[in-house]
Amino acid sequence: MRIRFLVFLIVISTASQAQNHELWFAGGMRAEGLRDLGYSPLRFDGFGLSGALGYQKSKENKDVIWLLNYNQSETTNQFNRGLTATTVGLLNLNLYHRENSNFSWGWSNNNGLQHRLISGFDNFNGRTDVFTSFGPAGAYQTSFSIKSQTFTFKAISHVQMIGFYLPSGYVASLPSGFGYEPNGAIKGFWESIYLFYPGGAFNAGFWPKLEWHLSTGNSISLNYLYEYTRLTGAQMHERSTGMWLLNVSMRIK
Amino acid sequence: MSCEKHLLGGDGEASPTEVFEFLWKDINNRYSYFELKGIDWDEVKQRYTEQIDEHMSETELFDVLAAMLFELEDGHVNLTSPFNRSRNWDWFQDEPLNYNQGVIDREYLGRDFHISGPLRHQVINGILYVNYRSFADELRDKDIDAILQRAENARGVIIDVRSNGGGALNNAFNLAGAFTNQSYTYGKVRIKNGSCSDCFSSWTDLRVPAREKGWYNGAVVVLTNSASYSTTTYFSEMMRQNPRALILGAPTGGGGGSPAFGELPNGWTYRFSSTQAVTLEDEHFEIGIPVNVRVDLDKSEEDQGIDTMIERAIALFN
Repeated sequence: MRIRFLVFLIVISTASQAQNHELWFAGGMRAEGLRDLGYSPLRFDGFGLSGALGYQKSKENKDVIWLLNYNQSETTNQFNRGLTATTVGLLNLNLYHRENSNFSWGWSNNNGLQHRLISGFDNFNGRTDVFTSFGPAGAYQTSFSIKSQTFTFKAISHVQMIGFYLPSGYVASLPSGFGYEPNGAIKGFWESIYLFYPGGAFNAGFWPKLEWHLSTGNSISLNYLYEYTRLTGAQMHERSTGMWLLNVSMRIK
Repeated sequence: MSCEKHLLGGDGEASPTEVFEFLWKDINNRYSYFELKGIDWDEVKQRYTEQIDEHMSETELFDVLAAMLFELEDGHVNLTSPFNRSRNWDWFQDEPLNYNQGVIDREYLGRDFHISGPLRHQVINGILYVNYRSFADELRDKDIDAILQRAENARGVIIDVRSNGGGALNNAFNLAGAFTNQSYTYGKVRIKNGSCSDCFSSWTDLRVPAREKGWYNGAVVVLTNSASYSTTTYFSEMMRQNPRALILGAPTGGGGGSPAFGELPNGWTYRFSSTQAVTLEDEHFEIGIPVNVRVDLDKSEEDQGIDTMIERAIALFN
């Protein structure tokens, strides 16, 4: 069964097919909840602004999506301590589907970097983590018409299973292999990384969107990107975020 | 709209027991000087647990937690609530002050002293006297240029950092770097990197950077007292390792651990030492930097407007 699936992937990925290329430009807002035990056991939550650039290549049996997003959120805890979270994410989705099927599935690579800056702490007030992970992804999409206008509803989900991440140190802002260690870049990196594996660190996302297809071939969509991340490194950090993005999609080829 | 936060769960209880346990445990995991100070933190917990009562007031809880932290004998340890800030200032309150600002203002700085940023300076008997009250006050390049220019024709320089409670380490680097043309190592530092008692990073060198824009190559005397603390302790050791400098006065108060911060489940914040720093002789900065020449203020001289330490420093240049 596995061999059949591999053959299927190879066949559909090498076949000469018609391709569509789209560029996405999106902006919106982000709701953010987070907790970082390097600072506090308390939950911080708030809102911020988001911007995103995307690219989609669509073949008959495969969609490849890249989404680069930038967010800055101002959060507070229940005692009004402030924390600014700046996040950059890069999501890659490779979704395979059979002809005329509403379902597609494949794999994803998610990359995230978040820098947090807490107010009122004079030292070690910045904490940063970066992760790269891989895992399965799936999508469902259906199209419909209202008053001769065409719409598509699509929902994508992904779960990150394996990868690695670099968190801030147990106390220090820098990862444990840097700053207080006389290490070069490679040794410092090696001493700082944690493995991303099932039961340890966790990241998953859910992305529903409603797309309105214009007569020009371009489209406008409303997107909600939910993502949960849990990093269990030197100090446990978790965040639960949702981005509402209005996206303009331009066909470029 | 913001259901995202609910997926993280709530904040949990902030009962006196929860708050006490959280503080005790985090200090247990991240404080850096238990071994040096011979503190049995488990025993401390036993004594203070008995004083925790679920019905106690916020003030009573604060007092118990503050008393527990007081046992760390560390000026970098505080508990901060909306109504009070605990501290342990025994490191200077049990020692002679050895500093009289009024005498310095009247008899040494006078009315025509120069002000360069946070530095106040005056030429006294051909020696440049520089008074720096707090390393928290930013020292800019042009401030150092000003004292170096004035020191060109001086027989020596006195840097008075008595009762300077510390501040930003960058200011100490910049000032110490003005008295050397070569970068040099003055100590080592390491940080807690895990919860076990001996979980520390490797020792890494602490270095004074050489100043690129010119430096003073004459003799320097640094005045310290027991209220010279934290960054001032670091500065004293930087200068003690400079072959052209002498430390005169009383040992500094310590403060060798860089303070980290935390927040309790009830919103109160605390700070604590999370690093260790040692001299090239493996003596902890935390216990204070020794002096090359021990001098205390003479009370009878002080009453006559004489600062014994400044006079002794001036005499060293003769």
